[in-house]
Amino acid sequence: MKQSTKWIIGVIVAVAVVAIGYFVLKDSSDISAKTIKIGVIAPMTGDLAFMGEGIRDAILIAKENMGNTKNRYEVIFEDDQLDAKMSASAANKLLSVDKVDAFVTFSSVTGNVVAPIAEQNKAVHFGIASDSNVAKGKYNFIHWTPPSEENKVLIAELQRRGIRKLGIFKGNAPGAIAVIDDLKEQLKDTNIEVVTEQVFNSGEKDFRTIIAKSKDSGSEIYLLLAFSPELEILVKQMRETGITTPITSIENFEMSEQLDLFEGEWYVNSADPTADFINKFNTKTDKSPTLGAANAYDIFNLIVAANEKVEGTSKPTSDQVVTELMKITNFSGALGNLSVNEDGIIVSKAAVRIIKDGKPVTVGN
Amino acid sequence: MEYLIHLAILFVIYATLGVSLNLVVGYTGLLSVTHAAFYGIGAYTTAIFLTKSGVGFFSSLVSGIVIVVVISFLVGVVLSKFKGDYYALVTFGFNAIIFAVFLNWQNLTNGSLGVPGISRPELFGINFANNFNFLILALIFFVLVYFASRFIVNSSFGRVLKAIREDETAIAVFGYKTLSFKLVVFIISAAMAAVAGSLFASYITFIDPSSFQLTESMFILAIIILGGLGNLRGSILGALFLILLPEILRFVGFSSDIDAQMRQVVYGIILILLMLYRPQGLIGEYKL
Amino acid sequence: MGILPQLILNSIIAGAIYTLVALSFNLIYSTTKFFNLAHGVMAAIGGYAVFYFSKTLGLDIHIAIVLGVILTGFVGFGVDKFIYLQLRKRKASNMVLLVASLGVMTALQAIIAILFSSRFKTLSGNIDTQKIFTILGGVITQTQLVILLSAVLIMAGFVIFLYKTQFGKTVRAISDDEEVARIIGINTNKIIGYIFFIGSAVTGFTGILIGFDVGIEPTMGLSLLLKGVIASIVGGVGNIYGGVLGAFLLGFVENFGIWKISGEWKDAIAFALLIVFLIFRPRGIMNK
Repeated sequence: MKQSTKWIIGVIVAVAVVAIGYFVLKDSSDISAKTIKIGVIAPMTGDLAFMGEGIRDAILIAKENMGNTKNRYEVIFEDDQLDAKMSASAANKLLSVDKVDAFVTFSSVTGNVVAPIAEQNKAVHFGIASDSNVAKGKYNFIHWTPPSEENKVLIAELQRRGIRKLGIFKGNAPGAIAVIDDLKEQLKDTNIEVVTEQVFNSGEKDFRTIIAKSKDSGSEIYLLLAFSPELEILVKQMRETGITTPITSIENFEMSEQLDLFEGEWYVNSADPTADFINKFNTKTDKSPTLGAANAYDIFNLIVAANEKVEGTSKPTSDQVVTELMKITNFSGALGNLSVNEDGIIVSKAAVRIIKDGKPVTVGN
Repeated sequence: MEYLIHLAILFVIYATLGVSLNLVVGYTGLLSVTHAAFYGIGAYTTAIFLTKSGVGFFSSLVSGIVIVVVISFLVGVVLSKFKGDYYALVTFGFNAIIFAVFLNWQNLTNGSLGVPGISRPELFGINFANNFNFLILALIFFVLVYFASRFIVNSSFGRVLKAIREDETAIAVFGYKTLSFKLVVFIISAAMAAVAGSLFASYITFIDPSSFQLTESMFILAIIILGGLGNLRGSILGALFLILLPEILRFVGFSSDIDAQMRQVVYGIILILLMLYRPQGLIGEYKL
Repeated sequence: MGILPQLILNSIIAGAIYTLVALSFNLIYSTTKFFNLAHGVMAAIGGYAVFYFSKTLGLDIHIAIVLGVILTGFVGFGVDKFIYLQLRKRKASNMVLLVASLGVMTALQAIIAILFSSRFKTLSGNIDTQKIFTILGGVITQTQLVILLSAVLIMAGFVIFLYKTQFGKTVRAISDDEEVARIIGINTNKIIGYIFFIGSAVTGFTGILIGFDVGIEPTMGLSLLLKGVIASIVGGVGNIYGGVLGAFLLGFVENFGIWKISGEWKDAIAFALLIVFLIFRPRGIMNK
């Protein structure tokens, strides 16, 4: 190798190290000590970027509508592409460079990676995740309607309709697995039976064989747990195969861009985002709220509320904020009246909804 | 500061992966795209041992190495029949199968939910929950791997490997059992990847299958191709570049979907240009 | 009759799609002798071209399909002329070409994502009104019948083209030995350019068919290509009939495999089939 090449490489490496070092060690004292910084880690790039963008927009809406507060609030967004090592990098960057006081994360993977980091550094962490592991530890919280809550509503509705035989199609993903594991547990005490359970990996496009496998199971309804586009392809291929059995889901229908595929079908969803939130989101983004957007909106407001309640003139500590968070009951959020339980899980309700004329409608509780 | 330590730990882990893969790809001339499988087996062994039994970190590390040695021996025997692009394809397939096992053997690996709550090691009263201590630990393993690799490539064993790379038939004529040489270096390389996997699992404290997909094998391959094949320092350089690059981009600012895709376009073009004008990588000594 | 007729139909449909990819992959591989990872992206290019011509520009769907196929052919031709040909001139090895094609694949995928976003799209309407046929209790849609028919016609076309025309003879001469072909006065680079045009156009057409049957996304190519490659190797690389046989075998093994074990093992089954063949019959069913 030529001497000149070595020099060029040396210079590039040196510049990179100095650049990162500069940002890390940069004195951030220009911001007043009473600014509460919130770091948000979500997929901002890649195939699921639209979800991360929905979360970003929801938090920005919450921030714009915050009103007068005694503390200042600042939000920093970081991308992790839903990759564990990138999540850890993002969390460390937010801690060291931005010196955040609180984290908001999206997905079970990110939540599981960030939770121990938050705990160790005494930073409040809210996960938008179904995996209850994410809430382990003093500083970790979850805002996601728990699978058990959604399953209760699902089972009640199945019983009301006299359905005895349930067929399941599930994508091999953390959310779906958490829901189904809990559902099977709860079904033990009922007369409802799971007659077929088909699993597929994300990225699968050909469901015809697993559909054929379940066709003679006698299912009276199929529970579909899949994200777009697998969900739409699955439904289309089911219809092509001549299956007219009703379908239902937990959460997934509303995230589809093709609601007409599910016309007339009922499903369970975490409690309605309030009309107020949906309006605000529509006005800002021209879209309906994406998965977790309403949760992110609530989380920001909860963090603000807890920080504001801490008395005194100095900046609230994480311990004080946690104490205030644990006291919260009947907080009026985008997902209804929220309370925090002893595990640090925000309890929100689930509701039965139906797609009517291409729009989701709640059918009472 | 924590951030720099964190990046240093990631860099050390990926440098370990790069150096070990270079033994197979750069020195022996076998294009293996399955390093993430061994990395993953190492990580899962540590994760499962530490969360489901009372075994300590170092025993779990050794168990991981033993399991990987057995599996890589079997895979290596199968691979001994192949060369060139067929070799690459079989390793590709092997990675896909191991990934499917991580994802679907739920009783053992917890499937896509992943394994949370993996503990950090503790030894001689030193608690490696502290990131700086952990960096030192990772560095010690890296130095061991690096010097072991350097010893291998400079030994007579290493010279045979390079001869296999240049002309396998010729060296076979001299009576060298090239198959056993290829098998041994493959196993050594896999065992080193298992060490990196153990470190990764106990550092992040949570693992899930998505960290060990085919794309991860390609990422490690990109590290050594960029840095330079047949040059151990090249792998260190490659790891430094590819770990730091996305972090620098955090400060340059992105946020839209398009910027990330632009990055992919740039990655692709760099690969093409590298192959056109510098197929041996930045400081490499061997062209594929 | 139970599930069996549907299972057989599903296997045949999957086999037909794999046939189309295997045929075009085989054609390019047998003349150039390198694994062109960018081959799969051509399916996405075809699909998105039709999406653009018919949905954005509002052209008649038949014209859009013809334009889409031709455009894909030209993209393949261009990639060969500006990248692979330059590498061949530099006497680059197959491995260098493979890595370069990885770069081409990454860049092209990202460009499609920038132009059309990475979200899934379908070429048919949202709610399908297409005809559905019932055969012995199994159902098949009109699009799938078209896929089946196309696979048969294109295979017949390949046979005639390679064995009955003067052009086909030169192509086979290059497959047998490029050096010799050049010596007897064949302009090999020109012929290889045409081969890239034809191979890419066929894959583009496959992508369009998949777009009508299921849908399109920028990353659809890689998994498709891998299935095509597995089919080619199982059947026998460089052999038209072998490729077809391999494709249908793969279709049947995959679909019958997940009959008794759970659906998430599908990809692992495909790779296991590949590895079993590579160990016991590395030259495929129809070894040349």
